[in-house]
Parts: sequence; C-alpha cells; structure tokens
Amino acid sequence: MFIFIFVPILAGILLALNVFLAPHKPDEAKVSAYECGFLALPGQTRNTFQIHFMIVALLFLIFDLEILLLFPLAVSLYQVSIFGFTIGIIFFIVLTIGFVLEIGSGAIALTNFNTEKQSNINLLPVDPYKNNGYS
Amino acid sequence: MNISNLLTNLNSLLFNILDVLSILLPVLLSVAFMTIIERKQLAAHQRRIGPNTVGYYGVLQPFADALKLILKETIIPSQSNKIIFYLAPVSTLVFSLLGWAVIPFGQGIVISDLTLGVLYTLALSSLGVYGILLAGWSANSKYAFLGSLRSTAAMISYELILSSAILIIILLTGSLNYITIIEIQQAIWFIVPLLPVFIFYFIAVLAETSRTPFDLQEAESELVAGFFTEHSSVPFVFFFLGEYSSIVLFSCITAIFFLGGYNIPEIFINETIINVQAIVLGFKTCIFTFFFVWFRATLPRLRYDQLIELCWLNLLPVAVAFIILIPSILITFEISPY
Amino acid sequence: MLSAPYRQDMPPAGGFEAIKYKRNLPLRGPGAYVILGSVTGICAYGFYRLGKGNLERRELEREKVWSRIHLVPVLMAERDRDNYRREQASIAREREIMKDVAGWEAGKSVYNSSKYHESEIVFA
Repeated sequence: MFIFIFVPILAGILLALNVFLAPHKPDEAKVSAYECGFLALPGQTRNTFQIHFMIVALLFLIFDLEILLLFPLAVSLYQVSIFGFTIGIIFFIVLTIGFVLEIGSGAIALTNFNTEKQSNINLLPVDPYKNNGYS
Repeated sequence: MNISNLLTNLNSLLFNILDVLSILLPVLLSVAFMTIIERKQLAAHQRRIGPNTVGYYGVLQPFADALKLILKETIIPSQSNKIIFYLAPVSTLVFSLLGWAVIPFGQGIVISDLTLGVLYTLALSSLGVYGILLAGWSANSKYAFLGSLRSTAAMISYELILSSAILIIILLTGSLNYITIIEIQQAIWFIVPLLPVFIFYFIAVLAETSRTPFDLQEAESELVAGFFTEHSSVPFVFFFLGEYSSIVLFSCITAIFFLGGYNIPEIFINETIINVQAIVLGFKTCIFTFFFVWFRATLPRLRYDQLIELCWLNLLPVAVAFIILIPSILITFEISPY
Repeated sequence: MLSAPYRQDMPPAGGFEAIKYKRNLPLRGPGAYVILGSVTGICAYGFYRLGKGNLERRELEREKVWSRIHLVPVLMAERDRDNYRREQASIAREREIMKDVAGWEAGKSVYNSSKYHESEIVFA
C-alpha cells in the first residue's frame, strides 16, 4: 500500500510549492479572525454550543455500532440462515425500543425543546392560531 | 547487499510508484474536470454560457484556478492552532484520495484488492469528519466553528443511512470485496431489486459529500463559508480537492454498488489493448456526477433542523425496515448468496 | 360628428366561445398506488433475477467443492508415493554415511514397536 506514503507526500509538495512561490506579508487586518463589518469580539470565537450536537454524536455512536454489528450476519446469511436472522430480529427489536424512547424524549428535536414547560407563558399578546372572535 | 538485490528493490519501488501514479493522476485530473463540469452544467441549467475563456471551451479553467490559488498568500489567523490548522485540510485531502485504493477499474485493475474493501471505504468516509471538525476548531473563528459543528452533525447522522444501505447490499452479495460485488451483479444490476434503497442511499451520499440540499456548512448567507472560512490558498485547495474527489469517489462507488461497476454485456468483453471495462465504469460514474450537479441546480437548501429530522425520523426507520425486509425475502425464497 | 353609421356591437357570428374555466395544471405523474405497484414489480423482477444468479453461483461453488473432493484420493496417493521415495532415498543416504559404524541399522524406527507411523519429518 504505497499510496499511504504517496498521498501525504503529494500534499506536502503542494504546501511546499505554496511556501516557495507565494508572497507572505501578514498584517493585523489579515491575521485577525474573520468578522463582517466590525472587529471580532475576543472570547466569542469559541462559544458554548447547544447540547444537541453532542446528543446527535452519542446517538450516532450507538446506531452506527448497531449497523456494524450486523455486518457479520450479512456476510454469513447463508450459513446462519433462519436462526441467525431471528437473533438479528431480536437485536433489532431491542434497538427499536431504544429508538422510540430516544425520539419520545425529544433527543433529536432541535426546535420546541421544552414545549410543556413553556406552554404556560404566552409570549404573544394574542394567540395567532386561536379564533379571537373577529373573523 | 549486492547490486542485483538493490536493483530488485528499486524495481519494485518504481513499480509501486507507477502503480499509484497511474491511479492518482487520472483521479486528480477527473477531480479538476469535475469542477469545470459542474460550472458548465450549472450554466446550462440556468441558460448561461459558463466559463469559456481559458483554453478551448473553458476546459483549462480548473488548472488556471489551481495555479492562481497556489500562488496566493496563505493567511494563518493569529489566534488559530497553527498545526491543526494545517493538519485539517491535509487530512481531508488524504482521506478522500486514499479511498481510491480499493476501487476496481476493471478485472484485476486495482491498487489493492482488499477482502474487506467496503469496510475500508466506510472507515475512510468516517475519518473524513475529522478534517471538518479539526478545521472548525483550529481556525478559532465563530463562523468556522458553527459550520464545522453543523456539518459534523449532519455527516455523522447521514453516515448511518449510508452504512445501512451498504449493509443491505452486503446482504445481497455476502461479501465485502468490491470485485465479488461486481461479479454478482452479472445476474442483475442492484438498482433493479433495490430501487427504494438506491433512493435513500443517494440522499445519504449527497449529505455525506455535503452537496446541495444538505450543504449547510456552506450556507453562505449565514455562515460565510462554513468550516473553511479562515482557510486560504493551498489549504483551501486541499478542502476543495477533497470535496470534489469524494464526489467523484462516491459516484464511482455508487456505480459499482448499483449499476454493476464495469459489467457490460459479455459480447463486448475483449482481450485487446483497449480496456472497455474501465471506460464503462467511467461512463456510469459520469451519470452520477451529472446527478450531483443536477440536484444542486434544482433543489433548495434544507433548514438545519429539517435536515436532522429527515435523517432520524424519516430515513432511518425506512432503512431499518429494509434491513429487516431484504433478508426476509432472501431467506423465504432461499436465495441467500453463498 | 359621427363619421361612421351607428352599429350595434353584437357578439360574433356563432356566439362567443365557451369560457375556459378548465385549469391547465402541469402533469403530476402517476398516483401513489401506481408508483408503489410498479416499484414493487421492478423489485420483484430484480429479486427473481438475483435469486437465479445466486442459485447459479451456489451451483458453481458446489461443483468446485465436489471436484476437489474427487481429486483428494489422487492427491493423497501422489503425496504418499512422493513421501515413500524421499524416505527410501534418505535411508540410502543414512546407510552410506553410517557404513563404518558397526551395528548401525539404517532406517530403524525410533519407537519400540512395529506399528506403522507416517513419517512426521519432511525429507528433503
């Protein structure tokens, strides 16, 4: 597998070409963080982010593992036949219960995070979806 | 060490270099032409001419662009992690180019005929996420950070759909080797029995390569350029090359999985110097690259929460249902592959 | 002043044409059941062909296995013959080397029994 050595070398050659051929005159405006119209606020560049991304990554870990665990079954379906398939089905039933729980807990609902808790506080003076007796 | 031993080693080294170059140079050329094809085809969709100045019919445009970008100044933001800032684009390029090591372009025309070739491809497509994640983190810019978060979440979500679609194909073939997969499709191209699977497979591929209905990393109106906002000149070229290389690679893999790879009716197979098989595979790959650009010209971009919900609430249950259905059919009619 | 003679504005001969109230919607394609049915049909045909292909592969594999099984006696006989030849040659070499040693019995078994043992050494 010579390609494993060759491809990084190729990338290195391109970088070296850039170092030798391109000008390099940094100034303060160039090297500051990109921002549109005003100076970048220090400390805002690595903001806290929503827990949602982390939860999606965790769920991905479980489900990708689940699919990869089924690859041996797929390769040996002729040999294990109906018994192995039954085991696979049981595996899937357990995971489907987990999947339903996960959807029910709102793990992947990006919007409407805590609808039940916020429902008492009506932010709008008039509920736009309720018939207020005008129509 | 005697001289003949040295010569033998040198010979095998030379052979290895030629082996790799004979795959990589056409790949890099095809990636370059993919960019011009995209611009020309988008222009055709919108009734424009597109680039037509550099070279005949604008064919040399990508080379002019690449040369210009190599001669540009590399700006490294002062607040960035310098090493990771360089490592991220390099890893993106390397991981997307390494995927070509297992693609068979004809009977036996492959750098390494791995028994677990499909697993190798899946592993490399998972590793591709690291380039994006590292780029977003190291640039230390708000837009790059948000862009990398978004596209990481989208890519790993759609990787589930991709690997379940591939699992279904493996169910039909019983082998993880690309050449075996192609040989089994001599009976029928997998797009016929797996038409619904092909549809959600292609949706997942579009999201994996961050193409248009799902290109939230590049939502120019909100996140300037996504995770490579801060990257310029050669690091930017690396991201660009990596992205387009993975588009061509995934088109090729789709052609192998669903259109029978280099399979053609047997009367056309000959032993002459012209290898028709590689040309056939190239033609089938072109069909899917056309699809990629066509979708970009047609479809509007999804919102981020729609993207995640489409994956987890719509596509994943369908994929799981097909993972149950397909082996059921295989076992009921006793046609599971040996 | 009126230059033209007075004329009542009347509908054209044969009356007005009918009002076009029909909506010219673009063709929406076949309905859901048609798509479902045709996709199922295509998939069924695909699985039929795939099944025939897989059965053929299985048959080829079976043929290969049986041909190997039938070849096994021939291969075993060949191996035994080769082993015997090599063993005899080895004994002859041993006799040649040890001819000066009195009481040396070339090719004598190291075991104290007359039971046949297949040689565990590969004679070169």
